[in-house]
Amino acid sequence: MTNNSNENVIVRTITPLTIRQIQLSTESEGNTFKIDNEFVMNVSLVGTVIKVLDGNTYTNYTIDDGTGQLKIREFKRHKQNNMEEEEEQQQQQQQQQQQPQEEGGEGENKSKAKEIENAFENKYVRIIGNLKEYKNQKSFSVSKITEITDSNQITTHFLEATLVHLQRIKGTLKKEQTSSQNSQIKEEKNEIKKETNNNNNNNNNNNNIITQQNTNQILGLALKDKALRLISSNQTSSGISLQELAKELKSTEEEIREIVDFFLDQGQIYITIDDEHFRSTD
Amino acid sequence: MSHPNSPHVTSKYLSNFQGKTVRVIGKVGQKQGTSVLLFTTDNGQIWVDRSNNLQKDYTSPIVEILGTYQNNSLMEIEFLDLSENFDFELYNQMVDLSYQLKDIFF
Repeated sequence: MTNNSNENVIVRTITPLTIRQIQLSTESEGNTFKIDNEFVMNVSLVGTVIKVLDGNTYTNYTIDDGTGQLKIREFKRHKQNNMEEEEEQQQQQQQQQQQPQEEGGEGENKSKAKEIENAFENKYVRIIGNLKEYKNQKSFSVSKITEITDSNQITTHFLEATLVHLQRIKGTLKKEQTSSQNSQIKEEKNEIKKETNNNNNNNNNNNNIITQQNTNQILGLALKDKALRLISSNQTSSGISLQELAKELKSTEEEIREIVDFFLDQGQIYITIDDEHFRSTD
Repeated sequence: MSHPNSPHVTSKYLSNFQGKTVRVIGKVGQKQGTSVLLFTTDNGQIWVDRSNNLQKDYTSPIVEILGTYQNNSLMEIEFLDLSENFDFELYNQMVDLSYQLKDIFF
């Protein structure tokens, strides 16, 4: 997600937010906002519709989710209305005396639109939309607005927003687990280094052999770490194969087999389609 | 219908919001004149004064009241019907969490 020019940031995720987060966001690059240090474009919100302003080509809603209020805009894309609108535009361009007909057309549009606006007013809705900066102002355009029928979605949305917020500022749980594994491996390395030092002090003659063995042990630890990471990063349902691991780690299948057996015993990985394919239990 | 910020609160936090607008979710209890008793998700109770909004009736047993808290009762500005499967315990924990994590809620 590098940003070379103003409009080239593409974010493919939908971020659940509270309106407070949107109000507080000031960082932006180009037209895209950054919240919790990540670019956000597509956003989901849950709140109540407290005001509706109907226009010809768009509807403006004011949403309140308990953390703040936000004005959002939905561009009208109704197929029927589009045809009528096109006709209206043509008539407007050609003549000036189409008013009675236009009013009739607009009247129909308005009454249909009014039905929709009344359906959302004072109801909880879920909104998926696009947050952008336009002339130094925040603009929110709605992709989808739906009424919430299961009110638990209110609670779960706030919980999701909290979770994503914490993950983005503090890191995910997975990272914590990996770092604890890393510290475990580091401790083991340190112990071996101490052993190496002791051996070096006591057995000068056998130094080279022992150092070589210990180095292999240390390298072996690094290999184990890499292997686990490769397995964890594989998201396919059949997992990563023994052969792929050997290839990626430039090691022999026997060595990989040893490593994989170790992790299987520990319960950190499991076999999938056969005993040469593995997935991480994380 | 513009009004100031209205955070979600449960009965234990209400004393912090004297004179302010809040949202309280609860189960509808008995009526007494123009007031209704609301059972909140943290096992509390609050009287809701409906005098300003009597023309509309609650249609669900679980409602969210938007109102101003003063003198131990909630003056209703507006209400919303919620679905009957609303999980009280989960919502209660969410409100507690929002107070611990203030930065995205307040």
